[in-house]
Amino acid sequence: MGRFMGVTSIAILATLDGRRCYGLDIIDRTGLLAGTVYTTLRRLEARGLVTGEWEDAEVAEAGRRPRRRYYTLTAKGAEELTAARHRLAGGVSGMVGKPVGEAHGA
Amino acid sequence: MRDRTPRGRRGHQWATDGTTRWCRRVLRAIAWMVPSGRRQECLEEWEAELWQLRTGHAGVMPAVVFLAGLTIHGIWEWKEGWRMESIVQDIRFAVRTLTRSPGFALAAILMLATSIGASTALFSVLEEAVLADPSFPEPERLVVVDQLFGHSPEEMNPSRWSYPRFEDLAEEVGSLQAAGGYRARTMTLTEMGDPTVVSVETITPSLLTVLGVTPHRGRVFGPEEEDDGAPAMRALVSHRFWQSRFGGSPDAVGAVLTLDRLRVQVVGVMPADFGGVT
Repeated sequence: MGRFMGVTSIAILATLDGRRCYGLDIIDRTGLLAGTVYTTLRRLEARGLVTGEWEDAEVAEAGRRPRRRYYTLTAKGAEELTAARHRLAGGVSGMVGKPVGEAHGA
Repeated sequence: MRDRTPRGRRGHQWATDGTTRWCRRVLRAIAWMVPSGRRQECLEEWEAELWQLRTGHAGVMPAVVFLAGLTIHGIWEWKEGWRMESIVQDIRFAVRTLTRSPGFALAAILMLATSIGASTALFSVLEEAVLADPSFPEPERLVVVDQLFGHSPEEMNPSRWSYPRFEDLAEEVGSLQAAGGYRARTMTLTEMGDPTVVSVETITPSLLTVLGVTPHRGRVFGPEEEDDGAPAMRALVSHRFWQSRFGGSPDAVGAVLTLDRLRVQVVGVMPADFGGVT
């Protein structure tokens, strides 16, 4: 099991799950501030959970915009995300005691 | 940091309005907080985001919020950058840059060294002459009274006080609690090793009372010197003179000096922090 991960890190990893995003894209999808997103991205990169790559210059030129730096989940990042999701789910179940539907007597 | 990407060279154009220019300037300022090794890459990444914000969103607020968030991130980068490897990297970068143009580097170093040396020397003189506290108490109550003479108000020159005029001043100007006079000069000290020119201040006995200075050893001048009828041939020597000429001996008080062939008796030694009046 990986070390403790905050909700912000999990949110960013979940955003990158199955897709590649650039910084502003992550900001828009998560609703986090730029400062939070970039700082978390740097930490996650340092831990090898995400990786950043520049898009091809030709693609950017074709779109008549500056080239972007895209972030993707690494295999290790995907593992950590799965583990974090299990921990979160277990934590929520522990707090509620039983599945929400059963609690209402449905 | 200069933007080395000419406008349109990579197929995109920046908006030319003032807000966008201001935002780019702020962005570059934030980028300076990033360690030099990654600065250019971060700047390029953030510029791409800012470009999108300024072309894809209406209004200035999204860009302002983005820059505010980046500022927080920049502070974090700056804090992280203060690790040893980053400092070493910066030093290497500076050395490489300087060795690339050694003539410029030498000129810059010499200019800096000269400027720092000159500033330090000037400050030392200023501190000694102006900023340092005078070595006597209540300096704010002391005034120096000059007399000026001239043919017209525009052409006035300072003039020495005569002793009778000084006495008139001391007695008649009621706003002065007390008055003392002095005159700086040099005299030749003989019969004490090689003849030496020494700085001397000829003073009225009242001056040291006015200044509130007490001697380190011996006594100050008293009324007996003033009422002598003839010029009192007595001296107070500086602490440094006492140390260099008498080796700090208590026998200095009472010793006789020969100044300009006049026999002058030492009656006291001034404190170490007293540097004279002038």
